[in-house]
Amino acid sequence: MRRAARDDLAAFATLVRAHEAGLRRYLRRLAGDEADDLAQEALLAAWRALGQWRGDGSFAGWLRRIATRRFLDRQRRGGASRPRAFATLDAADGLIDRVCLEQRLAIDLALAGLPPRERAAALLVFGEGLSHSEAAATLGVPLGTLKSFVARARAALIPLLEGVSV
Amino acid sequence: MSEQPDIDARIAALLADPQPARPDSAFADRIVALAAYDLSTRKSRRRSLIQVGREALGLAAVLASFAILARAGPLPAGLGDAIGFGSPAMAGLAMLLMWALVATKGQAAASR
Repeated sequence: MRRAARDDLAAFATLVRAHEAGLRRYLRRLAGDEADDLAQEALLAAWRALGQWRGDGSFAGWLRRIATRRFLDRQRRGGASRPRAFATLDAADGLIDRVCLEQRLAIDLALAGLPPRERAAALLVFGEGLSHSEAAATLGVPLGTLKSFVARARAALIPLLEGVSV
Repeated sequence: MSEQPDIDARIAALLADPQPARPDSAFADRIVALAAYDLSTRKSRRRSLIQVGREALGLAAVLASFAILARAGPLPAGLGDAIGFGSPAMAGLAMLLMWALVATKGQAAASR
């Protein structure tokens, strides 16, 4: 990290290779077809700001925060796009059991129907396993606001849970 | 209310990806290439700023020499043919030489 902050391209390449897949997977669910553009923007913004990174938290979390905020900025400017239905793609690639396909497709569509900030909150808390305070910091909102986003997202997703056990 | 953790766990299970994220080396290569381009652009911008600073210094020297020369009165009678080393004209000449030095050095740095 310190080497990358000193404009060491090889060190930055190592960071990119370690984190790009996870970041793009998160963004595909959040932003659909804009995912790769947002991932590229976030990684380049991180490259330019590496010297200013305080190191509080993980690099992946920092990247996710940059990308999420850029996504929300785009949404505010009116560049909305629907998230990709992950389940369809994965099934086409033969990656998931077809039995789960309908349910996964349903949850992806339900996520796509949520307002952007609620979708981001649901993905951060349920999908990425962040605590409420970490998700609030990522979205740049107060904890109470984040909790109400999560509650609304949960209410929208509950009808899809029939037959799902953990 | 007590069902909430269970509901959250079931939603998390639904959102969990069946496979680990797949790396895309072409994407990673493109990001690194863009970062390299960004680095070279930043370096070139920094060089340009230094060059502008040097030129500004040279310009300031020229303007100062003109200001000094403008303030100089007519030469006393009998000294018209011999201008002393400490005269305003000499100061102006020294500043012009400094400007030439700075400008030449700046151009040499820019061409590297």
